[in-house]
Amino acid sequence: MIDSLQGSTAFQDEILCYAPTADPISSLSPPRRRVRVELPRSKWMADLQERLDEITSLPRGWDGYDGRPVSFNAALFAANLIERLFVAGVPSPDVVPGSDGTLQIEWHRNQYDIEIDVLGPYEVVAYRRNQRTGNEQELELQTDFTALAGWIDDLLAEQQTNKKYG
Amino acid sequence: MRRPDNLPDFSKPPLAEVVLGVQFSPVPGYSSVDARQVWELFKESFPVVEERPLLAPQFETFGGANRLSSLGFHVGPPPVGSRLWFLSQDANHLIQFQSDRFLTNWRKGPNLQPYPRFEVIADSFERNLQILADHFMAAFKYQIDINQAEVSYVNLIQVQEFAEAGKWFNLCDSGFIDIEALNTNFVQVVKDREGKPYARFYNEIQSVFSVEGKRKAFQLSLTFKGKPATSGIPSAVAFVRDGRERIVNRFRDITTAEAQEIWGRLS
Repeated sequence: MIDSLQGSTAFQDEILCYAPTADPISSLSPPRRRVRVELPRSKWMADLQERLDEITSLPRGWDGYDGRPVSFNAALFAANLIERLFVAGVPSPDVVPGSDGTLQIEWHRNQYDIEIDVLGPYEVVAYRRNQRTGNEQELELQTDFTALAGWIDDLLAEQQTNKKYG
Repeated sequence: MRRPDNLPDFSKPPLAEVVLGVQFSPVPGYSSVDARQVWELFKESFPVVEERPLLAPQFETFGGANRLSSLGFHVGPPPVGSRLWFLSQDANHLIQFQSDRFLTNWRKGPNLQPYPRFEVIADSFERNLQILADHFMAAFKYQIDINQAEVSYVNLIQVQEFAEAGKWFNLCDSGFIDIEALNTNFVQVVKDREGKPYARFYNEIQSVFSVEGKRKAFQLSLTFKGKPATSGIPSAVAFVRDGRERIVNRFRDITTAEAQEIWGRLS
């Protein structure tokens, strides 16, 4: 019986984009020395990394009242969401802290607004408005952000239409 | 908890480890000095303590074009604290705890023990999670708010040569190829009855060696992870039970009839 193991060293660390599928909750494998290579990030995350660091490090009362820093878990979930929604050609969103430890991801372009409130992990309220048509939509989301991806595609389409006829 | 009648069963499964766990919103006001009180809750059955690095929060989300987005990010100041292992005297059972995670592991080694079966491990997991939740309520006025659950089975299949993969797995027929190493993984998005995704099912076969490098085995890891329907313990336990059924059925589907005979298939 094999009762203690080391992972195969065969090529894993050298395969581009290889990533472990789970975090190390198993107790079987001894800690492995592994070079940590930063995976390529989207332009949005490259632009927003510093901003996310900043809003999670805000002092208590940062807004002149009793404002709390953005919670680490909310920021991490937002980072995950931003990376998931990335579409090349759409400018990076603004990230705005809420005084209750939440944060908002926003695009306001060409009279088209998208606001995504990240209240915490799996707690998202999203709103969009097309000022030209007056159309508004609000969604409460937990795990599936397919609809938001569609909104970002619409934002890109609006942008391209404006470029063409603007 | 009773074993479902329709699940395949084995008298000698190649199981090396079973892990059940939850992730929850961090306990407000919790700090490292409070860890001792948590250990006191489990000390009688888990008298040995070890410290390990923190596990980063993980979120299973769906939709959007960027499929790699569930990989970890680092934002803000580096997280402080540690993950604690509370081990049973024989070191075959352990609880893993940090301020936003609680996991239960059963493992076959280091003192070789027969598999106690999922129902026993799951009952212990539920009982201990409830003890922890009661402590959070009493000490921190915090209602446990579970945002993710997971169940993982790790199987070790000892082999002479990795070229035997086809004998064990339906996925592989290596034929005459002299395989030095094998790594296969695939991920399945699991949807509810309305077609909404709520979990991921990670499947991984990896060639591994014993520490001294002389013995070979395939490590088959099956992990089911996602957001339970609600944030309470019953929902997390139901999620884990659902994941276990999927894992056992997947194990049946991807291993060969010949292998299952060796492992003593009962039903």
